[in-house]
Amino acid sequence: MLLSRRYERASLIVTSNKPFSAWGEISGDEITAAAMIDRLVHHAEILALKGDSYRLKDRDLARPPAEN
Amino acid sequence: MTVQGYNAQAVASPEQIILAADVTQQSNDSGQLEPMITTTIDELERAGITRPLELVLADGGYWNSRQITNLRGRGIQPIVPTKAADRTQPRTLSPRQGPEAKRIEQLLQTPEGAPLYRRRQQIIEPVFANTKYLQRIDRFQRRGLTAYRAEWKLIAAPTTSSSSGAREHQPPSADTPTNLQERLPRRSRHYRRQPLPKTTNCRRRVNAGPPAPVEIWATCASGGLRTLGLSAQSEPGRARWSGWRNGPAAALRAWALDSGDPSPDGHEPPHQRADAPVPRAHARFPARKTLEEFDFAFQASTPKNTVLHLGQLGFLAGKENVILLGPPGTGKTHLSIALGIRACLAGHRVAFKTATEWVALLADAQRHGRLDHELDRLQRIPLLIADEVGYIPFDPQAANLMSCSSHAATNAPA
Repeated sequence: MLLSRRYERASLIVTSNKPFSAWGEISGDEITAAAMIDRLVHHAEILALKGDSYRLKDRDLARPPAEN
Repeated sequence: MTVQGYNAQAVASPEQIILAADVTQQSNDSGQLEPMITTTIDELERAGITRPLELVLADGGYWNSRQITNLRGRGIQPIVPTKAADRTQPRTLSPRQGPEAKRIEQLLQTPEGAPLYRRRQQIIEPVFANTKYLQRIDRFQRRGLTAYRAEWKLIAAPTTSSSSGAREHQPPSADTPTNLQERLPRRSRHYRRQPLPKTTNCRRRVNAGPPAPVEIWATCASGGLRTLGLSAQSEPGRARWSGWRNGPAAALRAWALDSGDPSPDGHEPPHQRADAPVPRAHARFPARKTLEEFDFAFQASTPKNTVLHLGQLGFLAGKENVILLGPPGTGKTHLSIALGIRACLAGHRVAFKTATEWVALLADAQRHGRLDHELDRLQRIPLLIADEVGYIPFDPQAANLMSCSSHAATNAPA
């Protein structure tokens, strides 16, 4: 209801770690998810961020463990 | 020693909520009383508080016979001492004269008057202490009077909500005393118990008229902030501050993000209010992040131009949405907060919650049969941010609350 009320009336910023294709799982069924996405994206800027985790950038997980 | 600096003015309520802030190039405060009070009244009105200002406390530096007389004519009682408390003789240099001087001297000699005036430094000085020493804001970041004024107002707004210690000190008064003298003994006893730090400066106080259920105070002071020798900032920096036109009261509301709170008068902290729909602590940004801080170099996939364009807030005017998708740690929350803060700075109301919290809020409203009311309330907030959609799956009811209704929105309990 939040989305349908706000549709074309007020803005919403949404962040998600799941691509739209997986929103069916989020909302339980594909139809609800489709309705949600439909309202959300009709007038929207969609930014798909990629890359490594900034939180882990200094941890250098790729580095092999130090040899003893 | 001469310090190159500016004169930063602030007016605060007894709860140390800054009601007005400004920067001037005047080297003393003698001309600031009336302009600052006028600004305060405007700010209060903008925040929806129309109860008249009654009492103003300011230090001796604000003495200005004409301005004090003018304020008296507007129904405000300024208390600006005519001489230092430890002086017995009147000033010989520019003596304070006139009927207002006599009135104030008489008032300050009463048993109630002195403790009342002492509240000035207890109220306003910690505000400056908090800003300059606890927050370590003792330099302006940008150059030029306009930039200083904008920055000081910006500094003042978060300060109000973060000077937490003051909030508990002031119990809401249940009665509506109309006579100043009646109120004083009770108040001064209470105030003496308050362990507030001591410094020097001026304050003023505002009081509500008879119909008001609670009283409003204001205090006012000045302090110097030196300028920092940084070069003028780039365009994004300018844009960041330029939206700051609506003043501290509006900004405070934006920062507080508690849309159920009609005013920042702070007499009833929202967490104590039974009907508060949102705990204030949950209604805030989880952190303070800006677009300028975003590491576009690290997140090379982030379309910088698009993000900066969004920072211009055209999407708000167009009632459009912004969707940030990506794995954890790629900056979704950072960008959403940064855009939210941009919107705040431009004077828009913003509310930030995780998707789970939004669902909980709506479900609670539905349980109490006021879902429609709640949705209407949220409708008036131009920007809502729902973070972390999908971290926890929605159940069917939650999905329904968030997206659309297969049946019309009802207030029927779930």
